[in-house]
Amino acid sequence: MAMDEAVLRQTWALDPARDADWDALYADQLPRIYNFFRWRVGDGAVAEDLTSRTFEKAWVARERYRRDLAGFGTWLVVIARNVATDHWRTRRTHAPLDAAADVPAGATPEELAERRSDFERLSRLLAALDDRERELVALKYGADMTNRAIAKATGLTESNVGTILHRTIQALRDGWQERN
Amino acid sequence: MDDRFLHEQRREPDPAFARDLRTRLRAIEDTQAMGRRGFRWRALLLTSAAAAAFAASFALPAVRATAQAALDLFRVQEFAVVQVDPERLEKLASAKVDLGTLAGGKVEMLQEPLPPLAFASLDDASTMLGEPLERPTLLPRDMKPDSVLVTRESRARLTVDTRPVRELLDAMDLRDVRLPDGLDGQKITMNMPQLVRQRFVAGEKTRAILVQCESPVVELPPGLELSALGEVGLRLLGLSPSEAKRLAGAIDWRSTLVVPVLAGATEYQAVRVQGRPGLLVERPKDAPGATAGESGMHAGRVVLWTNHGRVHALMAERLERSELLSMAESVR
Repeated sequence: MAMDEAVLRQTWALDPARDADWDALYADQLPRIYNFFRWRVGDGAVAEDLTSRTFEKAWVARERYRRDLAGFGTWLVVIARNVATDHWRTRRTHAPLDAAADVPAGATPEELAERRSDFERLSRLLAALDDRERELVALKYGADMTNRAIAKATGLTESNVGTILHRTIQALRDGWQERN
Repeated sequence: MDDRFLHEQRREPDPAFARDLRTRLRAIEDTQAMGRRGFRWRALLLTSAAAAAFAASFALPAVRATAQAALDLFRVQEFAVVQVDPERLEKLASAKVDLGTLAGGKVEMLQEPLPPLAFASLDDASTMLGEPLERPTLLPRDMKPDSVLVTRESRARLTVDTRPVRELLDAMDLRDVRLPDGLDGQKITMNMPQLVRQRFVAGEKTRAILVQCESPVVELPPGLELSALGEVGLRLLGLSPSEAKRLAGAIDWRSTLVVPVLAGATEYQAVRVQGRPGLLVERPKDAPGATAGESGMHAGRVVLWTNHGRVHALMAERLERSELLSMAESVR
């Protein structure tokens, strides 16, 4: 194909089938990424904001994954991890304010505990984990990834992932029982 | 607490959040798809009001910075077409020179844009923004409004550095082209307006997008040789020395948005919309490069016009010319 034909073929190219793929991909991946951030940073507007940032970054360059939608899902997770890292880096700069915001005025710990849903209570326990532990838990239960996929994404060995997750979940379980 | 309990903590995203994000992503898809190659101008009209996005309008690298933005006070009032050779376009694209490069990295955001807003309807957008918005009162066939995306205003200032422009000219083997003296260190301020983008669909295949905004305003120190800068930009676009000189002298660079289109793949003509001069650019279905039965090569059209200081772009696929123009004419 001559070069100018290649150029022309891209002009006005709007393939409905391809659009349908993106719709399906979005519907499939949005819960994964959104839940990754819920586990990573907690429920609420921040998780939505970071999810938006991830998808917008990915969408700008999405066409390189047009023929490899499975690869696109993996790539989304890579972007999400980077977005989360940036978020924590920024947040640490403002840690005193953020920490203060976590404690609503006038509410005792008992009152707060009663109001919290399971996930809110879990989020308190997640916040006590170190970065790597929390990220692995978020990948496992938020992004719904297998240990093998997590190992591939993080560069850890699969057995290492399994070990860290086992230890982390045990810690969460202990914390959960203590709070009960 | 067990594995099942932990998995059960997953939640579906809020439907309103999911819908709004999808709307914003569709804006990216539409902009990418409808703006490919021959319609580079779209970035100026369609992308985020962020200066970073404005930089994308310089995707035809030095061209926009010199021929278009270089005005002591620029507002879009009319349009002019320049046909670009596909090979030249590829060369310019591969040079990857953007606004930041042209400014030697000295781009200063004076006003960061707020996050874009997505709405289910134009009425919702109008209510939230507190201002009336224009809409087509006549829609073709089964077309109906789909969603609205509003990108917010921003302001950026860059400091000109001609070195990368000279390098680009050298790379294009345009060694006879001379840049006006005194450009280095000049400050250019770009004001990108709030931009409202309404999407329409008919079935799964036909779509249209109406973009409306106040004109972008570009401020430059007075005394620059605007036509000389424009001539440089036209040479970069591939015009011969004599053509570039003639056209640069004929264009009012303070009010004309130069629209590069792909030679051989697009047709264009002057039209009148709401009694105002406009420009219709078309990529016919049977344009070179399309083969029989090939999907993704549908006829695409865009009409540009200004009215009462506002810039409009209405673009569509699979709409006849008469349908597009009628829709544009009905915008109130």
